[in-house]
Amino acid sequence: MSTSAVEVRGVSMLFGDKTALDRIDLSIEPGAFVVLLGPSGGGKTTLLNIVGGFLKPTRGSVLIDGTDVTTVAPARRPTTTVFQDYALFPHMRIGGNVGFGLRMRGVAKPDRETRVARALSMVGLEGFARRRVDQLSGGQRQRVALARALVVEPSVLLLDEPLGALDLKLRRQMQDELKAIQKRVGTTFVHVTHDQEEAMAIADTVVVMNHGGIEDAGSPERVYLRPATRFTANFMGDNNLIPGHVKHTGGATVAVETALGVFELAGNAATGAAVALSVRPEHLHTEAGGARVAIGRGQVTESGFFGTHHQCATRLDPLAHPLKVRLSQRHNPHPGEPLALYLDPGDLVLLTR
Amino acid sequence: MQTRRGRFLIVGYVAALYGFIYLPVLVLLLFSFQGSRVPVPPFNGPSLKWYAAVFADARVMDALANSVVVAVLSSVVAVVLGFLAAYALARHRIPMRRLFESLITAPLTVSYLIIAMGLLITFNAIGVPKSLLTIGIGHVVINLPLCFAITYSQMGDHQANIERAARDLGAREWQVMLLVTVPLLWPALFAGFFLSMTFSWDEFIIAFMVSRFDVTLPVEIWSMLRSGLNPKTNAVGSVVFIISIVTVLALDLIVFRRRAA
Repeated sequence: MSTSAVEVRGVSMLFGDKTALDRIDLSIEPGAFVVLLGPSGGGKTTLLNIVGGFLKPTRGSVLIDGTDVTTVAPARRPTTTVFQDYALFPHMRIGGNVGFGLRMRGVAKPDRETRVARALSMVGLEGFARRRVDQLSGGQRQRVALARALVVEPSVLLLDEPLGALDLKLRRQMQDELKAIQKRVGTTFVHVTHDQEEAMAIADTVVVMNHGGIEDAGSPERVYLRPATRFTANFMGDNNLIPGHVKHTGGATVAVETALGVFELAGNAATGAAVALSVRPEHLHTEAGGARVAIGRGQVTESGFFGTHHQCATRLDPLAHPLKVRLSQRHNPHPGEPLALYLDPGDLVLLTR
Repeated sequence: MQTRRGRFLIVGYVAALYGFIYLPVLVLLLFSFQGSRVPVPPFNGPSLKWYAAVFADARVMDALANSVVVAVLSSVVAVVLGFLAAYALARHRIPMRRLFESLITAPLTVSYLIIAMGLLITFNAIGVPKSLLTIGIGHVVINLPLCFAITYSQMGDHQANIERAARDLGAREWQVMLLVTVPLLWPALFAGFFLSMTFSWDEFIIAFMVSRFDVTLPVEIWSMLRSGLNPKTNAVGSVVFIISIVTVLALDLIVFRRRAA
């Protein structure tokens, strides 16, 4: 078994009597791009600060490359951080910023300059070494922060909402670049964000956090298609949760009774348990086909255009909340229009938590 | 008509206000160039003979040198100590931080006379002879709170984050301070230094009470005045004033120009 790049063992963090993290266990493989995803106050930044050494956990330990670093200062850890506000040194040139870590490690000037130039070209800022920080745009500062953190060749790079201050278009572009750079250098990246699209686009592993705990962790596909909890199902993209209870169980399947009928699906739950079935808006259809079953006729209450699709809310009498349904670009329903809905029970996900 | 009268009133008011502030200094400057022996109208200069007399007066020149030494050294000490105190209070968790903060700025509100008396009694009690050193200590006492307050007000959270980045990249504590904190606080440190210089340069009460044989310029001027007004005292006063003005202008040019750029 190879050593994990980062190993978080039973970490809890209390601020006064407020629990920011509650017994977190997390193992990160070397070379992985891990995204900690969650709402503000979910504990993701606290966890990042503990891995970076800026906070000492109340309980538990942190191992990096197999070495316990729980009480080791940030300067002595094989980690570097890209801060949300970049925290560049405004009184130094770009070259001075990127070379700072090497200077602290006693790297001689000629060697330093070569490595700084290489790091700058990696982030697409060739020849920027002599420029001043205030001559750079937000996106360029972001790249400098990245080069500054990577040039010292850390085992783990920590990114604290690094794209939060950029406009949407630039953010999507930087996502792709981050991913490409990570593949090239092979460093383990731990990236914090509250943007689930960003998380899905760049992560090898998404760790969904809420209320100081880990809700779910896995590949973006797995977390999106087979969320482990109600929170994850709702936080990762749009979703519909249909409440129900387990009618009977048999082998690896359960039968769940809901207001829309009984559905048989794979999963594990005790008979009588209150559960929910999640169905994505794109998994609700307006025509039959394949294994789809009819779930009833509803009435559109509102509709909006999202470029790639239309999305509408459809009221189905047995349900308390309207269902979100994704329709094609061409299909623009107006409020009041009736809509017959079908779904493939194979798309349903059983949520017990 | 109304507006013209209004404008006239405004101009008159402004002229009166600035006259009130600057007329005494202008009179002092003017009669330092007086030709005769008494600095009263009518003006019969200009003449530079009183300046020549000032620069030929060994006692005045000694006092001037003393003033420069005390101002520079006490200001350096005040800036360094003020910075260290601000760094400690802004960047570390210190029990009763508010109390220490108030205690360090409190001397700003105490009159120089009280501070001077306190210093005099203390120096006597512990047997420190009155000298330039005691004057310097007195000036650090009055200027440290100022330097602290100026520096402390500039140490924001954004800056703390920049220091964090330096630590993250492997800087030791002294490297963080020297390579990041001090350069970022440069304008504040400069402002503290120059303001301390001007206060020390002008300061009379403490310098008078805790000095003996070596005196600073304000004390020397005071002893000259005891033998009556003459254009030479005006000339010395003008020298003091001009040096103060030059210092303030230097501060303005170096610190505030930089910030605007």
